[in-house]
Order: sequence, then structure tokens, then C-alpha cells
Amino acid sequence: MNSLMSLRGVGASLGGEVVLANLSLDIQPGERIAIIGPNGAGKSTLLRRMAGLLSGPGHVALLGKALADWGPQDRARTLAFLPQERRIAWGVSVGDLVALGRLPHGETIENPSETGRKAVEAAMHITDIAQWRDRAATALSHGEQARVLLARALATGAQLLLADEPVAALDPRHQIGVLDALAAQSRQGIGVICILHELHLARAFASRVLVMDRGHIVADGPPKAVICDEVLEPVFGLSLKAMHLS
Amino acid sequence: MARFPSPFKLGSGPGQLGSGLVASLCLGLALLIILSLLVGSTAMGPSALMKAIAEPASLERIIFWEIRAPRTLLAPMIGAAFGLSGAALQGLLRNPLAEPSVLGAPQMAALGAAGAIFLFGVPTISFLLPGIAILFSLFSVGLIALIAGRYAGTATLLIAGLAMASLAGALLSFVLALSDNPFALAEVVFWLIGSVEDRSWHHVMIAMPPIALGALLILPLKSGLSALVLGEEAAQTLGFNLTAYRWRIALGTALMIGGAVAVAGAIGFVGLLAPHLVRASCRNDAGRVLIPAALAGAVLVLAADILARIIPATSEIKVGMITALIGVPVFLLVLHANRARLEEGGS
Repeated sequence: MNSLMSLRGVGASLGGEVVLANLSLDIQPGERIAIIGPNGAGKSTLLRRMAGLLSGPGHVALLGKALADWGPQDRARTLAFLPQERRIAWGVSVGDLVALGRLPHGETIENPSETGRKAVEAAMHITDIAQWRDRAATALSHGEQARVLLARALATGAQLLLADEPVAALDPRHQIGVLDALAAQSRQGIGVICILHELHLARAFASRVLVMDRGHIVADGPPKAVICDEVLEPVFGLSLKAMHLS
Repeated sequence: MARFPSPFKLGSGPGQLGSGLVASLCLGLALLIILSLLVGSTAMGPSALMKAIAEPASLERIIFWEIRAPRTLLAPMIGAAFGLSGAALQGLLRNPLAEPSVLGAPQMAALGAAGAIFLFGVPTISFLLPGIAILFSLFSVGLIALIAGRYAGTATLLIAGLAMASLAGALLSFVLALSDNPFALAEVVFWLIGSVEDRSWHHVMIAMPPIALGALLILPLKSGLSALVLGEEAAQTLGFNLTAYRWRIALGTALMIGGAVAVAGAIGFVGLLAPHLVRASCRNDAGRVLIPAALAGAVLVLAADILARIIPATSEIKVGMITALIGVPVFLLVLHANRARLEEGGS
């Protein structure tokens, strides 16, 4: 069976500096992967490389086909990306913003298909934002906007979801709510890859944790095997006890 | 309870999409077209109109067909070009102040056209004229896009645009002062303020092809401009090729502005006003705003031209004076209403 995504010898440079070096990775359907690591470890760069936003050495394949060989619309239907940038430029309604997730399906905001309408409703329900459907997205708090943007990514109905810090700026209840929602997606066979800074959430949410440091994956395995002093202390310079995680 | 969003404040809430918006704008435009044919230094009542139709050699026919008709067609065409360009630039750069004249594009186009006429003797009804204006406009839009970068912070945009407009104004005055034509310097007002006075069918014919081509390049970009509300990376992963978008909008804007300015000078602020007037009715969607903004631009410039004809003055008031008189306060209102968001958006 093809992996959902596979990376072989993948690298990336930003401003002439190597930020990812020779990474190889396979992602299977239904996996819930948390990427953790200190600032500047290359986590966001890895996600952007997987989303096809950056080029570089190595080979990235989606469902067995090179990422570069996918048509833009086909790729957008298969792979959804939630970037770190959360700025919403115009005061569009929450409902319209979530419906943007249906554009790769050839639907418009004005005329969604029945499937599209259901996907948008489901995404708003999962992220608990349906009550704001007619409000301007820019009038919401940063945490609320983060949920709206996640709903947009979910509405696409993609098989692989890449999310760069999806729970940053959320209150604890909504952090848990969003990660539960993502876990439910993975149980339906969707591959979910999230960058998380909260190690306790990574431990609770992920079926697999990747630890990154200085452009390399230094550990890859189930949370219990990876979130331990032997792995994390050299990376973060702190013990689990010091991070109040023991 | 119904909410009435401010047309100036971006985050004030989406209004309901007025299904009648386009129809209302079309109706308003049709009424203005009729009024424009009747109003001017020689008033034309229904009987004069009948005479114009019935008597081919009559003075009324000349006024109606050779003076009023081309002007009545040219003004909305130019307004639509500015309105559509403004909407596209605002959507692409995600900045409510990004419009052609704020970026110095019409001023540069005017420099190109006036330079061609007064230094190189290019006739005012030559097809070469919009070509030169387009190149200058493209240079301006391209250079500012390059300077401002992908995130087009407000301060960078405004300062770069101000520099470009000032440079174009200074060079234009210089070029006209160098001209052998003793009346050339008096033309500065026409080129920098803009007018559709004394325009003929020849002017309509040379402006129409680039404006139509520019509109054809930009109108299909509706969905991508809607998606850009999420930022460039999210829009890209929704399947939109933003490099192609940037090129098409830069080229489309340059074609429309070059075509318009070559025959009517640098009419300012329509590209800012038109999208803001219709944005709330389009649910603040940068894609859906395109066609209504073009229509609003058409209505604005034709209405301003009619006003220019009926305001008593020793010489006819220029259209660009009226659009600037309305546009500058709106520009300041937009800046004031959104200052927090604009500053947050980076500079």
C-alpha cells in the first residue's frame, strides 16, 4: 500500500542557510503526528516543504505520485494546509471564510454543492464556530479566528491535513476540543500532522511524535518512547521535571 | 437585527450580499448615460434630440454624435478601468489603500503619454500612445510591487507610491517645459488631473482595446482573490498559482490604466472609491467585489463628468478635480477607520 506521503532525502534552505537536511519519512493514513522541537528547529519549514510551498533537494510523494506532478486543484483537494500566518485581510463572514475550503472542488462561495454545504457545516460544528457564521471573522478574537481557519482547512475534506500550531492562542478547553476533533478526523483515515509546542498535548493527542532539532528529525516514535528525558533533554536543554511534565 | 456595516471599516461586519447591487448600478449608469447625452454647455431637450436624429446635417447632430456620445462612452469606460484595477490591486495586496493612483501608476502613464506627444510628436490619437502609457504604468506597478514585497505593508506602499507619483509629476512638468510647443506647460493640469473633455471617437477607439484586454485578464481571477483573504500560503495550497496572479494583475492593471490615461489623463482616486463603495454589499469578498467595483467606477466618473459640465466656471472643471475632492476625504476615512489593522498588518 502506498504511504499517504513519503519524503526521501528532503532538504530546504532559507536565505542561503540549510534549515532541513536529508529527511526521510513515511506517513500512513489515519496517523496523528505531532512535530515538536525548539524554535528554529525547522518544523514549519518541513510542513511547508510537505505542502509544496518550498522546493529543495530530495523527493516528496503524495499517494505515491511526486508532489510536483500533481495538478494544483487535485493537490489542494488531497492535502490541506493550515499555515502559521493567521491574518484575515477582510471582514468576510465566518461562513464564507470556511466555504473557501471548497474552492478546490470547483465550488464557489455563492453556489456550494450539497456535499460542500455539508462539509462546511460539519467543519463549523467540529470547531464549535457555527454560532458565528454571519459574523465578520475579523471581529473575533485571535483564538476564535484560529478555530475558524482550522474549520476552513477541515472543510476541504482532504486526506492529509498539515497544521502549523493549530492550538496556539486557544484556551485550554478549545485546545482539547480542537485536538479531539483532529483525532476524530484521523480515526476516519485522514492523516493529521500538527506542530505543537505544548508537550503534554502532544503526548495526549499523537499516535506518533517527531522531535526536530537543527533541521534534523532526532526522534520518531510513539509518545511514550519519545517524550522522555533521554530524547528531550539534549534538544530543549530541560528535563521533563523542569518542564513540569514528569 | 440588521447591521449596517461602515463601507470604510474592514472588520465592521459583512453586509448581506445585495442581489440587486449590480442591477442598481446598471440602472444608475443607464440613467446617467441619458443625462450625459442631454447635459452640457448647450442644453439638449427632447426636441433637440429628435432633430439630431432626424437631420443629419444639423448642429444638434454634431453636438450629440461627435461631442456628447464619445464622451458619454469614454467616461464610464475609464471609470470601470480604474474601479476594476483598484479592486484587483486591493485584493492581491490585501490592502484597502492599494489603488492605481496611490501607487503612482496613472501619473507614470501620464508621463509616458505626454512625453511621447510633446517630445517625440506622437499624435494624440495614435495607437502608440496607450502602448507607451501601458509600459510606464507597468513599470510603476512592477517597481512598487517589488519594493513593497509580498506582504505590501501600508507604510511601504504609501511611501513608495508617493515617491513614484511625485517623480512622475516632476518629470512630466520637466518634459512639458522642454517641449517646443509654447502651450505645452498648460497641459500639465490635463495630464495630472484628468478629463474627458473634447474627446472624440478616435479616443474611444484607442482606449477600448487595452481596457477590454486588461479586464479580460483580471475578471477570471475572482476565486483566487477571494482565497487571498487567508494569506498567500493558504491561497496557494487551495490551488491558486499566485505568481500567475501577480503577473496577470500587474499586466491587466497596466493595460487598463495605460489605455485610460492615454486619452483622459490621470483621473485619481476612482480605484480607491469604487471598491469601498460596494465592498460591504459584496460581503467584503475581494473576488465578488470586482464587477460591482467596475460598475461603481463607471458611475462615479460619468457622474463626475456631468457635474464638471454643469458647475458654473470660466473654464470647464476637470473630472479628476471632482474625483479627488471626493476621493481624498474617503482615503483619509479609510486610513482612520482601519489604522489599527493596517499597522498590525505590517509596514
